[in-house]
Amino acid sequence: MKYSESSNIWYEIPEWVSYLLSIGYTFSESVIDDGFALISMPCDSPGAGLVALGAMRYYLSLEPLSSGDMHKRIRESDGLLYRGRDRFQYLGEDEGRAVVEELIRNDYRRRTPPPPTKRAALLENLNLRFENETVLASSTEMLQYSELYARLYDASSVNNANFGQSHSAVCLAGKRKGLSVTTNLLHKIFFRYNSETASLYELLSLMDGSFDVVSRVTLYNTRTEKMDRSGMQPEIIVADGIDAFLKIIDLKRTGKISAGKVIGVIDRTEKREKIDSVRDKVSGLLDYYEYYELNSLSEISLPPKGMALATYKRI
Amino acid sequence: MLDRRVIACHPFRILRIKMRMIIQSILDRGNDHDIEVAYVWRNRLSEWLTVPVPFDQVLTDTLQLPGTLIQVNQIYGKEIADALESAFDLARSMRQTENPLISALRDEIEKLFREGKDFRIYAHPKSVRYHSSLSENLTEQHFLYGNSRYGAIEPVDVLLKIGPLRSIGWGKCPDALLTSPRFRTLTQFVWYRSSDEEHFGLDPVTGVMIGDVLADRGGQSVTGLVQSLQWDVRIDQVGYSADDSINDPDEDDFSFLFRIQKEYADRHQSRSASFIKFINGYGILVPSGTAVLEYDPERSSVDLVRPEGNHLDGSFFVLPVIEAVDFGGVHVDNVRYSEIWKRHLSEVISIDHEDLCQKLQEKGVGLLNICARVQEWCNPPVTVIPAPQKWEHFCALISVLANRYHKTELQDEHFAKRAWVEIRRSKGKAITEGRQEHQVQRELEYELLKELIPGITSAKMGEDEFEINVPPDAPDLKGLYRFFRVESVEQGLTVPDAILYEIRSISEVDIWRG
Repeated sequence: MKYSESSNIWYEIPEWVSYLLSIGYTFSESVIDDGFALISMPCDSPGAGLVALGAMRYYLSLEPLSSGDMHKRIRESDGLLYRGRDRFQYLGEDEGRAVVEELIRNDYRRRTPPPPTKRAALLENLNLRFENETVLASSTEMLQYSELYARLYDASSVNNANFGQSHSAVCLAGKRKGLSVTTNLLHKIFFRYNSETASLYELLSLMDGSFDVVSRVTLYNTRTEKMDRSGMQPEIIVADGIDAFLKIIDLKRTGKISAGKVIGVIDRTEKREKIDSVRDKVSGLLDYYEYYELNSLSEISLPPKGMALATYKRI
Repeated sequence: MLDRRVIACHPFRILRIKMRMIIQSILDRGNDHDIEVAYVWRNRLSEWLTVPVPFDQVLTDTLQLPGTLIQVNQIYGKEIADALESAFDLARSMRQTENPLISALRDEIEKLFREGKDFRIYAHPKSVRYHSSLSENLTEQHFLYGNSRYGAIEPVDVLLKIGPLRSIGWGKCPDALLTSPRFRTLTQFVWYRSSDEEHFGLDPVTGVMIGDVLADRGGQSVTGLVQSLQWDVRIDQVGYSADDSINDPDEDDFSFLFRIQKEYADRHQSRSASFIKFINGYGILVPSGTAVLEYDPERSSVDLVRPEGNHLDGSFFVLPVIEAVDFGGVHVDNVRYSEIWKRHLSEVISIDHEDLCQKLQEKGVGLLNICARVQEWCNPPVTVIPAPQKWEHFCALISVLANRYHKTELQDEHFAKRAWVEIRRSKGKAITEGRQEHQVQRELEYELLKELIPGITSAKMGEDEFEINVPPDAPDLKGLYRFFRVESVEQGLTVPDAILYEIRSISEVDIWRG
């Protein structure tokens, strides 16, 4: 497994990168229902993206949703499904296959609209999604780089069936200055294993303009205060920078998000006022949260030089 | 490693002690002009402690500011006059010698060049000229200032810093100098008796304050985490230490500057303020904690936000320049809102006067003889508009009429505010007078601005400064909004009330930095 910050020079994965990946994985895996972690970095970095990748890697090791679970979720909705600009009405399940009928939009150019077409197929062959959500299951749009994902964290194996299912348990909250500030850094880091090479951005499988993809990390725009998709709430949010962390903590406190776990990755070169605002926020939270030794329980090594970690769980 | 060079210079130290004594006395007893002079001295003292300033004419020029010795004697007494005379003598004698901080710094810079070391000097842009005069080999690339530039540099061998590590004032620097070193050695030149700021070098994650740890002031981790950064510290003193020869409980220079800033703020009608710096080289001082109008071009939204260290950078600060129109006499013809609410009030009184009074009391309108007062409010405008005296009472009245008696005309969320402005005008009071009125006007300005935002074109958003006019048909407010793109927000200034909310050049604000 090799790592690069320039796409030309490759070297072993640095300790700080491994550490951030393992924090994302371990905090997602931990038994904490309600807690937060803060990681301070000596400079601006793609650290939040790496933590999010670690968290995503944890969810790749879990059992995927069963066909029955997906059918149940569709039944509990209004049954409207989408693929590109086409709309479908879910009619029911037939021996594991989804029965859908295409809904034809009124078209003034056609005097007589074509009759509705009915189809029955496995969900992963239909590439369907809910409105403003990514593809539920797909056998053709599956995530690539399966070897890379597997090698990112050796302690557990990846469940390959997850590569064809979208998931929204992990959310990356971008910098307050703008999402592009966060995503630009994600494009600059690369991983390589055998013939597979991918940027951090690609590995995070972020939705890039189209809903018709499989994506396993949600993106939150701290500036516009919007998620990139609707649907299920994330379970863990990784905040890039102080402003994003403060925003997410406020949303959590006011019940506007239900994510139990929040990780803030902050840069110590930020202005004093911002650093003070984090300290003040954490001080206020200590009425409800207590320091929690994530390190000793999960045998994570101490932070590499120049980094610091503190984790807290609800009292 | 922290390589701390303590520069001791007996005459300069005595000069500083005398200056502090005089500053304190002026702030205690001085008139407005002298107090301004004291603040100039305070600023100058801070500069001398953090910049390699030559001991030249500037020293004596600065001390001439308070006037003649005879005048000083008359106003402040013999002790202060003697202190000033002594300070003059010291300043004159010091002009014969070189500032030892300059010679030590010059030697260090020459050594670094000789050894081929990669180094930077952390210095306020205004002090660069003093540094540059020390070596002809120094170029712009050797200087560094600001969090973002520090955060972006590649690691160097040595970082030079003049003065103590502080988060405010002339010599301010990022906590990251201690928490995220980008150098092997931080060589710090400080005058004797100039301590680093308490709690400097905070890592908000571990709670460790590295500055306090290095100064043996505690600063241990609140979480019990092991501090991952270990510093080696070397302290050398350059020059003559006069500590034993002065029988004086000497206060640290920066402690003094900080103390007087706090101590005299109230007395001189000063208050804590934030300085919102614009990209165009200007800025505005606002009281700390006060909400200001912010326009975020990316979200195309306007908000009332407190400029406390976050969120404003890159957005626009919006300054409403709204005319206070039609103050003075009553213009019965212009009364619009009062006619409406008075008509509804009369109707309700005619149906159930007592119930209305009871509901108002439940809403907190605790006026004596409230039923008679309510009746008076129905009277038509003559010289003034008869109405409740307090905004809260008026708000309660409109709320009860709108909701309890279903007067839909009054249910518009802006009705009460607009009607209140009308009432205040009729009483000949500027609507910006007083806290309540100011609040009402600010909310109106905010609401109107929200309506105007869709009209801002993308061309304007690309500019660093622009204006939009209030449409002529806008109710109650006339004027324009000025938009300034914000570069950063600086906290921790203490300034007189009189200079708040005025656009000033950044250099004009320097005097209020300590």
